[in-house]
Amino acid sequence: MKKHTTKKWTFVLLVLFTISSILTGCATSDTVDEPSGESQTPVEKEKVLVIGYERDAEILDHIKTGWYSDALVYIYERLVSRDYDFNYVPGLAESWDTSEDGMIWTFHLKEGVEFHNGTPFTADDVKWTLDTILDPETASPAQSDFAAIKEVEVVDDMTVNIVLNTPFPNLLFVLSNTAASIASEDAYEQYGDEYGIKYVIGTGAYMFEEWIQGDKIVLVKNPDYTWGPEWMSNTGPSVIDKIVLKTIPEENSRLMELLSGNVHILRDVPATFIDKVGDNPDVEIFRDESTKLGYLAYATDKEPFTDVRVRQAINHAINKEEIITYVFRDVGIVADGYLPPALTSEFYADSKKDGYEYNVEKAKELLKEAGFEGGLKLKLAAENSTEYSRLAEVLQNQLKDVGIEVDIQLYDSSSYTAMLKTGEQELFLRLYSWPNADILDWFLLSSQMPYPNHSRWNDPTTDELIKAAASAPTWETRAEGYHEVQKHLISEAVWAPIYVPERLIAVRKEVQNFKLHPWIPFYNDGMDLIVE
Amino acid sequence: MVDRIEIFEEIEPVDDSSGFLVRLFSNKMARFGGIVILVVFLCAIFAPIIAPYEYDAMNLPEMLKAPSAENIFGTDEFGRDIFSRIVYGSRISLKVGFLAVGISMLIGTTLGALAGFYGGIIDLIISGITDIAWSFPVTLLAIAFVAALGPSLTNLIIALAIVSWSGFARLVRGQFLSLREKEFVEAARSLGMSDSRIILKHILPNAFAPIIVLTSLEVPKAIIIEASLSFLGLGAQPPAPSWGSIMSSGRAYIMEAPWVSFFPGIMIALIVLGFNLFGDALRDTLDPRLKD
Amino acid sequence: MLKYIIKKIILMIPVLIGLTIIIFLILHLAPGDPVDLIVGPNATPEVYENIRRDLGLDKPLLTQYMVFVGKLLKGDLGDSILQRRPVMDMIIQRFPITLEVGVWALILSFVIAIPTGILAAVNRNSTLDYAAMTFALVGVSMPTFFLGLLLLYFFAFRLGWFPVSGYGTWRHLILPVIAIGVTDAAVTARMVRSSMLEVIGQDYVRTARAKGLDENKVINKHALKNALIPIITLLGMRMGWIMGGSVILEIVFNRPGIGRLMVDAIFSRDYPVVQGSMLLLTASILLGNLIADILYAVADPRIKY
Repeated sequence: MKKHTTKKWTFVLLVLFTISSILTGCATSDTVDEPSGESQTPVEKEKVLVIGYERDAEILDHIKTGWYSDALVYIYERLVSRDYDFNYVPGLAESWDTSEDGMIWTFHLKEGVEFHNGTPFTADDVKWTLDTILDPETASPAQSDFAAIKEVEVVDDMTVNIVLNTPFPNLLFVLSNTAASIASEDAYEQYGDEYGIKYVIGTGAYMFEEWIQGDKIVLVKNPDYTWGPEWMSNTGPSVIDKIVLKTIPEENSRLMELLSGNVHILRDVPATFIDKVGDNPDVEIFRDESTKLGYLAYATDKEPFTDVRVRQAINHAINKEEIITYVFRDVGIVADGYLPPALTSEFYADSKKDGYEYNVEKAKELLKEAGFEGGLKLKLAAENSTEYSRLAEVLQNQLKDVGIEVDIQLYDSSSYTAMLKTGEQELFLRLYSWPNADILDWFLLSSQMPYPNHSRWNDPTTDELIKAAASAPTWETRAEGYHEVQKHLISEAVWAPIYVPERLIAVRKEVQNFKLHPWIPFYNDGMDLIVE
Repeated sequence: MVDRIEIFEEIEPVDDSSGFLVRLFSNKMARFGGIVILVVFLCAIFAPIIAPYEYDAMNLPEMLKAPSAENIFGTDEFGRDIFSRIVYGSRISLKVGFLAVGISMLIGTTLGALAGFYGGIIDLIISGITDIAWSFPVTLLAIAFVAALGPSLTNLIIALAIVSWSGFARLVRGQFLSLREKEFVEAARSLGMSDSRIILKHILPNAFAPIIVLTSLEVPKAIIIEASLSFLGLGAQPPAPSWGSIMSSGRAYIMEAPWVSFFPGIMIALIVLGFNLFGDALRDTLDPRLKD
Repeated sequence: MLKYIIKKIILMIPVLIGLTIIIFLILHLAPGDPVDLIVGPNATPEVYENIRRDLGLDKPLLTQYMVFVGKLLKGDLGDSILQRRPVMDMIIQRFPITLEVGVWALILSFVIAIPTGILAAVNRNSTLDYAAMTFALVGVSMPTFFLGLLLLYFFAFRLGWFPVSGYGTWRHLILPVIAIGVTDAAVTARMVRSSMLEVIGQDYVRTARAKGLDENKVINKHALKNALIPIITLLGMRMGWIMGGSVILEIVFNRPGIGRLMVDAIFSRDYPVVQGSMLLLTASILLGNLIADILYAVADPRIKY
C-alpha cells in the first residue's frame, strides 16, 4: 500500500513535470529575439531601423483593408509620388498628360521596374490593380476614392490611359495615396489567401520578410532597386538593411523603448511626453503641422440643433485656448475653419475673423434668444481613447458654464460608427485626418446622409457650393470654390471646429538625414535615412 | 481573476445567534476588516461632507500636481482632487459589489433552492446549467458581456450578476438536498404546508448562514472585477470616479504622476482586504471544524 | 481509468456548447457593425453589402451559428474579419506567449505556496503562521493588474531592469510571472494551510502521534500526502484564475498574447477572433481541470474508476 502510493506520486510529479516542460518548451521555441541589435552581435552588423507603432497592421494588402500600415508605403510604389514641397512628381509613372477636356489621363510608365518576385512591371499591372479596387465584387474599402475613374485602358506595355466619368483634378492625389499602390496580379493569384499575410509583393525599395502578428513586421532591402523617385537623395538600393515596424500599444512603454534605444523612431508621440523626450540628448523631436481637424459636431436635423443660434452658442461656449494649453500642452493649434491650414491653398484665411470667439455671455444670450434660458441637457458621444475622452470631459466642463449639461458616452470605434449611422447622436466628437479639401464632400453633402454625413447637414446651398468647387477645372478655381464652402459653413455653424493637432515625431540620434515629409511622414525613410 | 473554491460543503447551520457576534468580533482580523468596511461605507454615505472638492470640479492649471496640503492625494490630468474622487468612488465600488452580488445571490438561491428541493428532472436541468456556468472563466465572460452590452455601470452590474450566480446555486442546492430530508421538513409537509411555504419559511432560513458567508466573500471579487473592467475602459463612464477608471486614465501619465494610479490601486486592495478579513472570520466563526 | 477519463471528457462537451452559444449570441446581438470598420467611412452601400455578404453576416443568426459549429468540428475557427486570415493561425501564434506566463506563474505559485502553507499549518498560531497568512491575505486582496502596474513602474520604467514590452526572453517573463504568481500563491497557500490543518486534525494522524511517532515523520509520512491530494485539484482550478489574470496583464505589459488579441477583437467586434480566443482560453482552463481530475484519481487510492 505504501509503496503503491509512492509510485503513484512519482507518476503524478512526472506528468506534471512533463506537461510544464512541454508547455514552456513550445512557448520558448516559438519566440523571437529582441528587435534591436543589442542582444545579437552578428559578424557584419546589420543596419536595422526600428519604428514603434501603437497599432499593428490588419492585413498587408491595401486592396482589402482600410487601415494602411506604413509597411505598405515601403513595399509598394504608386504611379505618382509627392515630394517634400507638396508637388506631385513621377513615381512608377515617368510622366503623364491630360486630354483637353480633362477626361482622359495618359500615364507613361518607368522602364526596367521589377516586382520582388522578378516579374517586370507593366501597364497590365496598373490596369489590374485599379480594376480590382473598382470591382464591387472585391468590396475594397477604397473603392469610393476611385469612383471618378470610368475605365483603365492599356495602350501598350508602358502606357496606360485612365478615363474619367467627370473632370477630377484630384486624381493625382488619389493615385499617390497608399490605397493606389500597384500590386502584381501573378503574385496575388499565386499566393491566394496567404497574400498580405505570409507573402507581399511590390516594387518598392523594401521587401517583405516576415510578420509576427501583434509584434512586428520585418522588411529587408531590395538589392535590385534602382528606380527611386528623383526627389529622394538616393534612388538606388537603400543603405538600411532592415526596417522593423514594432507594435507597442501602450504609450509609456513606447516612449521607454525609444529612450532605451530599442526603437529609433516614434510617430505620434503624445503631447504629454514632449518635455520628457525633449530633455533627452539622444532624441530629437520634429513637429509637424498635420492635416487633421478635431471638431465637435451635432445632429443638425434634430432639436435643438436645428436652430442656428444654438449651434452658434455652442461654438461660443468652447474655450479652445484652454483646450490647446492643458489638454494638448500647446502641441497643436486652435481651429476656426473646416480645413487645416496645412492645406495652404484650400484653407480659408478669414476663418478666425468670421468664426466664433470664446464668449460665455454671448453664448448664454444666444441660448436665451433661442428659448433655452433654463439650460439644456444633451448627450455627448466620443470614441474611447485617451485623447477623445479627455477632450470630452473638458468640453463637458466648459458647456456647463453656459447652462448646457452634458452626459458623456464613450464608444469603441466600431460601435461608434454604428451609432452615428443610426442617427441617435446629439453632440459628438470627431477627428478627421485627410490631406485634401474633398473631405468636406464626404462629410457634408446631403447625398452622404446618414453616413458619413453624420452631422446630418441637409442644405442645398452647401451642396451647390461643394459641387461647384469639386468639379472646378483648375486647382486655383477649386481652391476658391472651397473658400466659399467654408465661409458658408462657418456662418451656419455646422460644426464647432476645435483644434488642429500637431504631429510629434521623435527620432533617435542614430538616425541621420531625417527630414519631415509634409504628407506621409515616412515616405522617404526607405531611401534617405541612415542608421548608425 | 476570480477563484471559486468550494468551502461550504460541510458548514452546519448555526443556531446560537447570541454568542455569534461576540465570537466574530473577538477575532482581531474581523475587527480590522469590519472597520475598513465601515469607513468605506461612511465615505460613501457622507461623501459630500468628507470630500474637500466636487469629484468633477476641474482646475486645469493645477493638473497632475503631486500630493500636497491642498490635495492630499494630488490631482489628476484635469486638476481634479484625487482624494475627493476616491471618496466619491467608494459609492461606485460598493454599489457594484453589493448590487451585482445581490442579484446573483437572488438568481443563484432561487435556482439552487428549486433544484435541491424538487430534485429529479428539475434538479438535473438546473444542475446541468449551473455546472456549465460554473466552468466559465468569470472575468473573461464579464468582459465579453460588457463589450456586447456597451460599457456602462448598469451593464457591468448585469454582466457580473449573469456570470457569478452559479456559486450560490451550487451552495444552496447542496444545503437544500441535506435539509429537505430533515424531520422538521417532513413535519411541515405532513401538516399540509405548500411547497413555497416550506422552502421560504423552513428550509431557507436554515441555509442563511453559508449564503451570507459566500456573499461576504463574493463582494470583494465583484469589486476587483469592476476595477479590472473599468481599467480596460469597460466600466463606469466619465466623469464617474470609479477607482478602476481613475487608475486606467492615470496609466497614461504614470511617468510624471504615478500617484494618480497608485492611490486608487491602494484603495481597491484595502477594501478587498477588509472584506476578505471579515468574510474569513465569518466563515471561521460559522464553521465548527476550524474552531479551536 | 480510461473510462473515467472518457467520462470526464464527455462531461466537458455541454460546457463547450453552452460557451459557444453564449459567446456567439452576445457578440451578435450587440450594437456594432464589423463591416463599418473594414469599409471605412467612404464606402458605397454596394461595397458595404458585398463585404457583409462575403462574411456571411446577412444570413439568419441560427444559420450563422450552425456554420460556426460545423466549421469548429473540423478545427476551423473561421477567418478574422479584419485580418482576413484563419483565426486558428492567429491563435496558434499567440497562445504560447500567454501559456508561458501561465505555466511559469503556476510553478512559481506552487513553489511559494506549498511550503508556506504547510509550515503555517504545522506551526499553527506561531509568528510564522501569522506572517505567512498576513502575506497571503494581502496577496489575495491585491488586484493582479495593480501589482503588475507597480512592478512595471518600479522595475521597468524607473529602474530599467526589465523590458517594458514584448516577449521572448526570460527578462520579459519575470515581471508578469511575479505579478500573477505571487497573488496566486497567496490564494493557494491559504488553501494548502487549511487542507493541511484538516488532515492534521484527523484520527489517523492523531493515532500516529499517540503511538509516539516522531513529529516530522507524522507530518511527512501521513499528513503531507493526504493533504496534497486536494491540492492537485487546486492546480487545475488555478489555471482559470491565471488565464483570466493574464488577459489584463497582457494589456499592462504589452505582451501580444491571446488576451491582448481577444480584448482588441472585442473592441473592434471581430467576432470570429473573439469566439476563437474565448473558446481556446476556456478550453485550456477545462483541460487544466481535466488533467487535475485525472491526476487526482491516480494519486488518491480511495477513488475508483
